[in-house]
Amino acid sequence: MKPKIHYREIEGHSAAYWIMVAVFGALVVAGLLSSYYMEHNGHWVTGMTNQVVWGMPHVFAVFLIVAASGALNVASIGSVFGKTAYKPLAPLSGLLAVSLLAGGLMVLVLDLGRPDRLIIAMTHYNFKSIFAWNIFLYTGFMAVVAVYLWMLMERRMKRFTRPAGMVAFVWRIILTTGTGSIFGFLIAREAYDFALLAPMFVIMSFSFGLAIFLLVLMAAYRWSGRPLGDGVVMRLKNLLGVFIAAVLYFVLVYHITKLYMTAHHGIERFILLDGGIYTALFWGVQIVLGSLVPLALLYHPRLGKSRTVVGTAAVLVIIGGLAQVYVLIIGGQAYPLQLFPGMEVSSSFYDGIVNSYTPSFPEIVLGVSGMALAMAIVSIGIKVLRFLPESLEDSLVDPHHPLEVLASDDAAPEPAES
Amino acid sequence: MSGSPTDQDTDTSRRRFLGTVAGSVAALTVAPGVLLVRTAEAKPNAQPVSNAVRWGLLVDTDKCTKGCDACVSACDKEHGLYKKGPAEDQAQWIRKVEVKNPKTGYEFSLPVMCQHCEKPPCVDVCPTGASFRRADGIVLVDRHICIGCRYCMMACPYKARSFVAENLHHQVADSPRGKGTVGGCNMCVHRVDENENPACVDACDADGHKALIFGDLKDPNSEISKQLAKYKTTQIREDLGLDPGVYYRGI
Amino acid sequence: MTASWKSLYRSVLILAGLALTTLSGVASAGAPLGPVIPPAQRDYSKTQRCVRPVEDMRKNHFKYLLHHRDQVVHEGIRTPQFNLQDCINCHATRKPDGQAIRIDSPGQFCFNCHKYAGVQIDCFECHSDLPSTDSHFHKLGGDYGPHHIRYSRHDLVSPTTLEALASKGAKK
Repeated sequence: MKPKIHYREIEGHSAAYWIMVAVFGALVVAGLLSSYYMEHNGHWVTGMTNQVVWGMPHVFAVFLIVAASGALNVASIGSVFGKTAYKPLAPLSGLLAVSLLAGGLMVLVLDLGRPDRLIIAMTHYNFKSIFAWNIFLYTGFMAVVAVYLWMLMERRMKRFTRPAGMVAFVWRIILTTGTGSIFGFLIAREAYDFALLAPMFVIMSFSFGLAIFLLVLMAAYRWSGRPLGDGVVMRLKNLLGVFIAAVLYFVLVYHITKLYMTAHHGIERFILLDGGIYTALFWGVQIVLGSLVPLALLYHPRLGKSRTVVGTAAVLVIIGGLAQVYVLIIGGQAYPLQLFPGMEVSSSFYDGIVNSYTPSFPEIVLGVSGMALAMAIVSIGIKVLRFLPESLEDSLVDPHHPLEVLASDDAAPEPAES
Repeated sequence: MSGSPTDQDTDTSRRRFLGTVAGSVAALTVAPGVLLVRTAEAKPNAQPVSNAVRWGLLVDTDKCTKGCDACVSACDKEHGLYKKGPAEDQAQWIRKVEVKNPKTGYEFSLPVMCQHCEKPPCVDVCPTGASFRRADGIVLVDRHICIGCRYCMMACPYKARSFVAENLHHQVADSPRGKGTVGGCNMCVHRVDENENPACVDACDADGHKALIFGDLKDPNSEISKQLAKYKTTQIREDLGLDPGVYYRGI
Repeated sequence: MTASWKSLYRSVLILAGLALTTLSGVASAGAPLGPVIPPAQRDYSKTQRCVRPVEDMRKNHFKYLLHHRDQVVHEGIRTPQFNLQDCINCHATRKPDGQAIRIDSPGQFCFNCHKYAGVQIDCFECHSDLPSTDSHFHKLGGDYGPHHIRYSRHDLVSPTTLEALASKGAKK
């Protein structure tokens, strides 16, 4: 007979816990203040201009929304694909998904030129716009995950977990496709206008979401003194490795395809070679720090077993993910619009030149406050409701199949180099 | 009855046609007294624009000189686009673009504004429908429902739109614009709806260059249609398939 | 808290409340019950003070504003009767030195009522709140009121109606 998993709220009485929540709260307040500052004075106080119209807030918002969808992956693997070992992690996964999305949406809405017109945004729809669809997808996701969590946590509803999980799974694939399509549908800019962006965003969501989930899981269990077995951690870290590799694959296909298209040599040269900060971020942070180093760390036979190393790798994935979104959104705007392909163009409206963008302090604060809101919701959520199992030690998680399951279950790829 | 056209090079045929129609209507409405009473009580002048007309511009870049920016200054003045704040945040609804072929050395300059596409990507992406295309072909922003998301600015291949990044206090009555909304060339709708040319066209004519022609692309007898039929013209980034309403000669 | 302190505390609270009420009543004595509405420059016509009867305007002006703004922007229907600039021209108030009072300042027509009612309007974030003394439309009518000639393509009936009217007399 399988031992039962008990879910219990964390105690949350220690000074450290309250200080942490207070810090998150302070960051959220700072974000609200910076948003007020930007809205009251107008966006001229930010680094965003008529040339680079979307900046740091959008980088954070897109990252958080993408990560939110991916954070639900763990729950989906349990409910939809029936992997028993992931099932205890499902409630936390759902909570993290909702809170990351809340954080991302807060940043997105607060950066609008007219955030006071949110009601108009929710009542006037142009259904040809993927943005309009995304409004439904994002708010719907909150509702779908709320229902899914209810099914997961209410004993009488347990039999509806699988259908609810299916709905949530399909919903978030569509949501992430919609987010990627925000850029993929744009014909105007050389870096966008690519069908690959939608599935690439889906894979990015798997990677970023799982990285954040791993960090939150390890931190929550360590700081609340609850046992977290290697069975769970190793399983998740191998999965993370798969997802990092998958993202690398998509990035590779993206660039090789665009390199093959002669007309796109300009943007490729810009991103890969002489784009200054964008090239540095692409190679140095996105590829090396954010993908290759974590891969090496996670699959190293000895280092990969250390929780500190796993946590470091997850942090690097997050930083690499932010850099990836930054290169895509900002780099894509920095490269000039091609009014006359092949010609040298100049004007008083900054045509024909690489546009400059310097993130301003209020933008960065707003972006970070989105992360802080997500973490605040998670921190308070696990104290108020029973999201976290009391123990995730190996004998509870998968009592009949201890660590051997790793070899056949996850089919983690052998690392290319040691 | 029509306002006397002071500049012969404006679309005189269009004005004459409308003047004749105005005269006919005046004659016809006087006779049946019932009609007169009805128009006085009902909302007068209430005719929506229709797609029987498609407004367009023809720019002759051969007449467009490199240093001249009469159209730009006129637009700035007409819409109150006073230059305040950081240079990269200043609104430009029309700008002169200098183009040079690096291989041959050939140079030309042209004014670029919103191209008023038949299939505008900015209209497709606007979440609230604030960026829209009027039935008569003019693409503009309904600032009442614009939420300032700037997605249309991301989507426009011609960089036609500008975001109002600061508090405005001295708007021109005919061209309302405010902080947090997006706007661009609207072909001076307030003028077009009053049978006038856009400000840039009038300014270019006043300067003597006469490089800009405004008119109804669907009317084969309009000056613009006749010129389009006679001379070779192109559109910027024709390959995108957006069918802009702005044509260029000499690029 | 003992019973005597409690009752003392309660009495103090009641007295303070009474004092405040009396004071505020005294302070606002003589103040009008309602907003001060500045008079307009002129009447719309001999029979009507505004483009619609005043009571109708008081209750429904926002409906007209919202409906007509959509008509103007989306359909290009510009009527001389419902024209925001003409509303401003009529209802503008001026300071003793002749300068127009701006929105969000006491004495401005819209502001007085809206501040009283606590309903925020954002029209003048975009629209100019100044009367147009030198609009380029000035050339035709010379003055602003119901009888100025607003020369518009939309003065004319649609081509199909025109054709129908024109062919009425002709034998077809």
